[in-house]
Amino acid sequence: MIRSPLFINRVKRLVGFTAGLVLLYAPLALIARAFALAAPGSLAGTTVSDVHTACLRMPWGWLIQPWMLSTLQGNPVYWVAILLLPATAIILGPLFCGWVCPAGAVSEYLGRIVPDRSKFDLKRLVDIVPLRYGFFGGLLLAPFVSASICCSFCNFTHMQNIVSAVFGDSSGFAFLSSTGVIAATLWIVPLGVLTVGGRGWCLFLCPAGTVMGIASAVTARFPWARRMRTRDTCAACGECERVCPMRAVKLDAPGPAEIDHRLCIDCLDCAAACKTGAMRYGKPS
Amino acid sequence: MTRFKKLSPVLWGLAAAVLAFSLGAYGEAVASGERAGFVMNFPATGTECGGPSMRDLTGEIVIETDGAGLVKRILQPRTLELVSHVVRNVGDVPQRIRFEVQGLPADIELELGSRDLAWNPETHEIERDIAPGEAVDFDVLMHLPAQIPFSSMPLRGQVVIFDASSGQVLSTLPVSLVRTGAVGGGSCCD
Repeated sequence: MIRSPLFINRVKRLVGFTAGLVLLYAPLALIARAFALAAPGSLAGTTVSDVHTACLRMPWGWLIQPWMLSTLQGNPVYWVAILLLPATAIILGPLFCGWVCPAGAVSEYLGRIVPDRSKFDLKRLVDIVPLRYGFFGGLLLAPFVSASICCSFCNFTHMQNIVSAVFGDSSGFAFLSSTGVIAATLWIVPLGVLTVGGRGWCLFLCPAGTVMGIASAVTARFPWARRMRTRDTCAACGECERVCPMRAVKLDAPGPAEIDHRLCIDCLDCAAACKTGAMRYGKPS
Repeated sequence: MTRFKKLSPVLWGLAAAVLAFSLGAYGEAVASGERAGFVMNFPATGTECGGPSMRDLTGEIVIETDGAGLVKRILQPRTLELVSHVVRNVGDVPQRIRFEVQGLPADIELELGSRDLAWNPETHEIERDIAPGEAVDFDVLMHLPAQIPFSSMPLRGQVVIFDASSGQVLSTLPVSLVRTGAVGGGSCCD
């Protein structure tokens, strides 16, 4: 069991998530520091580097707020979220979510503490895709209808606070806001450890992941697009569906399992769990 | 629960959007009692602070303490925050600045901070020149005493930016803590 392909794949992903910590989060936050060097005078160059410097949430909200466009233009670090990650998803799928994002990993790995029989399976309760994209639309329009939720309901902030606390700086917990506490609770408890797969937050509340899902799904059939694919050797045993953290595998119809690229994060857990080699990551055959 | 799943995708999408709007409305409603976002220019060109969003400028930071959310009231009712990502040098020359918060009752414990790499937590100075047009961030944690002096509400003070070299006041921004009836602060990042 310890050396099963699934276990090995999850260990490999853990290495990727560790790299994500180094790239995105203080104390190192190498991406922000790289932009600080490349674009002195920008926001990245003037404030301490942490996950907020290369924020993956706010730029999406700002993109349709005319009064924030100058902020976007003046700080190229924000284009990591808007351009770089979707471009990566178009070519390779949302590997960032499945292999790099530590915030998604925390809820997913914590979710393994609780047995699946004690959790909610969102796939069986709700229609995930319209909820995901409806919420994204709501997030974009919220500043016009009520107020922005990019900062008030952010899990990256909490992840940074946790990482900083591990490195001895607990100042992130000095101020607790109602929305911050609610967001942290949602991320870790109902949408984390109590959700099958542990990625309820990623499914519904992460704009970066949602956009990468759109980019991945729209371009999945392009000849150069690398994605999870299924072969006819699929025995429809359901193991891939069981291990999928994003509930992206469908076995509703006869025939091979289907992968919903609007949700799939190409984590390869399904391929590692498949006993017939029917799941592969690559270009369309 | 299966019945719910059979709802139209359009309805699911609309429900999710409404949820997002509701979260925004809730966040907006409680933010005015917990934290105030603001922008501030120096040298002074008139004071500016964030209203419901950054584009709605008012002349004062106001925290209406009665507006705090239930979670905040339960977990941490006496800690409030002023936060700004935009304290901008609108002058023509580079400036080295120091912050103070003045005028609030002495039994309100204040913690001044900035994410700027050059921030000195002892002197509250950003120990580098801030170029014309450049912005830095700044925040203040306010720990109210166990016995909040409601009788003396509103409590008034001000954020002051000094030229760190000469000691000259470059800009001031009034701060008020009130119980009811005032315009709130809003999210820091709208």
